[in-house]
Amino acid sequence: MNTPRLQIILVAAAVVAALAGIILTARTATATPAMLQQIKRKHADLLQLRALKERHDTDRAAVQMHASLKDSRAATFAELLRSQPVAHKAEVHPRDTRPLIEGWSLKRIDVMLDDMPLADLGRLLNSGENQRPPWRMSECTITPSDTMPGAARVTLTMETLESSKP
Amino acid sequence: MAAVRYAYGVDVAGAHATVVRASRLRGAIRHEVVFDAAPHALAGLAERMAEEVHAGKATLAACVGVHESFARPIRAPFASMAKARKVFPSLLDIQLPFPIEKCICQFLDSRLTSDRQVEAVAVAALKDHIRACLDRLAAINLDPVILDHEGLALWTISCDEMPLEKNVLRVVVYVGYDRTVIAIGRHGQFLGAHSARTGMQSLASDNRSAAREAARQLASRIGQAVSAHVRGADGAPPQWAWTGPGAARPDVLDSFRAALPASLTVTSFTHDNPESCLARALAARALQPDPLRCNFREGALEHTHAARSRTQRQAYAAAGCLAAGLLLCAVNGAWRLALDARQEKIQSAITQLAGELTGAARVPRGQEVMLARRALEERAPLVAPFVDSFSPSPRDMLRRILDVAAARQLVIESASLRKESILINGSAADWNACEALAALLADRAWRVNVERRDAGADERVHFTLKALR
Repeated sequence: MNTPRLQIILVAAAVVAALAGIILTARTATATPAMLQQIKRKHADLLQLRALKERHDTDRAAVQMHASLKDSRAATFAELLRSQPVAHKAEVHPRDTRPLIEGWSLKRIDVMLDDMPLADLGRLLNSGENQRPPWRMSECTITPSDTMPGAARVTLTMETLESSKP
Repeated sequence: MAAVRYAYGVDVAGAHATVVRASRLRGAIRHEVVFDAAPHALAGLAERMAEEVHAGKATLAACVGVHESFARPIRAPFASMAKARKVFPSLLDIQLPFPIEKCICQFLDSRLTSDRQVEAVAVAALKDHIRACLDRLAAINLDPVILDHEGLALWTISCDEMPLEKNVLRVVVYVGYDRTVIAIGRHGQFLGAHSARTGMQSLASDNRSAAREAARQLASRIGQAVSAHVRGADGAPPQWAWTGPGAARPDVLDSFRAALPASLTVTSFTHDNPESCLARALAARALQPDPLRCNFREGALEHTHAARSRTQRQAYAAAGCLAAGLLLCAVNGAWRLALDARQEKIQSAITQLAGELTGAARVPRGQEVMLARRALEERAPLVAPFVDSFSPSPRDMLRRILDVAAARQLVIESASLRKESILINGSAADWNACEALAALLADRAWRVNVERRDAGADERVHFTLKALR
């Protein structure tokens, strides 16, 4: 290949490369803001998903905690009342049972206690929460007893989680 | 022309040649006469100069005589420099007695005049004359890289060595061995060049009457040429600058001066080292940029080394351009790849998280957050009791309420606690006692409203406290 021809090829290649470089740069300059914007949007989505995942993990951890308990259901509330040092007159009525996930369900009962000393009420609720799974108070109505000072008529709504799995 | 260390200027006049070497020294140009003898003795130096030229260390400049060329100002009647440059060849073509295609022509020092015209110095020489000049130089083993214009070279060196005052007309007279050349101009403006084939050989002839006659004829011719410019310069007498080998001979100079009209020769001076003035001018002009610098060796007449250098420079420029272009392509490609990779990485994390949260094998792009949120919202009631079992128990709130009531001697007549609401009816010993209950709940982010009634027969303040989440 002679020199002038080589020179022409070199100049042509240089022109093509320079043009390609300029065109690519222009296209990149045009496209970059949109791409950066999209990355920013996706990053925001990722942050939201991470927050949701955190919530999901908390939920899972709570479920796992219950699944890891030795007993899959709490003692009945009647048994709990019997275990109290002082016997109380109580009426226990099941309210509802709501199915949850993975074989678990939420069981709610209404408990009516007449002439319940308030100090004993605290003990009873404590004892319920110490069960595994626990009995938790969700609603409570207290009206003073007409007959016994320091006592009250207490209506409790208690709930507990129980699993159908053995 | 790439920067060279030396430049050689050659002034060949018949049986005599002068070679000056110019070099840059601390920003100034230093001249050194390296040859001043008959041309046939130049062979050794010519060979050495050719080697230096080929090595890229030096350049060699000679000139086309004024009698073989043309140099004069030219004007284009409009203010656009670009337009003027386009029409200059046509304007010059009209003035030339031969077709411009047969010439090498250049337009130097283009400038806008006060009357909004573009003026330049047009230099031209017939290609045949340039070839003949090159042949003459080749006969003494010289192959100049630059073939300058004799008149412009003399004018430039004269102005450099003896700066010209404003509005003063100067006539540079080069009295050579075989010719006399004059270059005329005024401050910053070259006006023209003229030449006569009468040189020192005739002016210094042993035949005194022949010498006087030669001086008279020459002076008459030069006087005519100068008078035209003097008339244009409001009649003020010009300044004469003597140079060339003849200027070093007082007898020659005196006879010449004597032959000139007395009105024209009011002031004059002789350049230092006048014998080497032209060679010095050629060497200096080859070494430093100048608006009046020219080179008739172009196109087919271009020096092989200059052509090679130019080709090389073009190749380097093209290679640089190629490299820059490729680099730009690479940088852009890398940037796009980096952005794509970043986006893909984020997308992959999004897809994975969305899959985990929704339990779906494939989540449509762009809907991940919405679907994940919907999945969690749908599941929320099913897992809420598990999470609630770890939150503070309402039992604790009941205990606190009872504790505060006992401490403030509040009588609670009825109380109802739910997850989202608390309602307490009771009575207090004074107006403000129930505030403690309200503060307890408000501290735990309940919105509390207390209604009090004036004390009744029991002298107690009855209140109703309502709190909402």
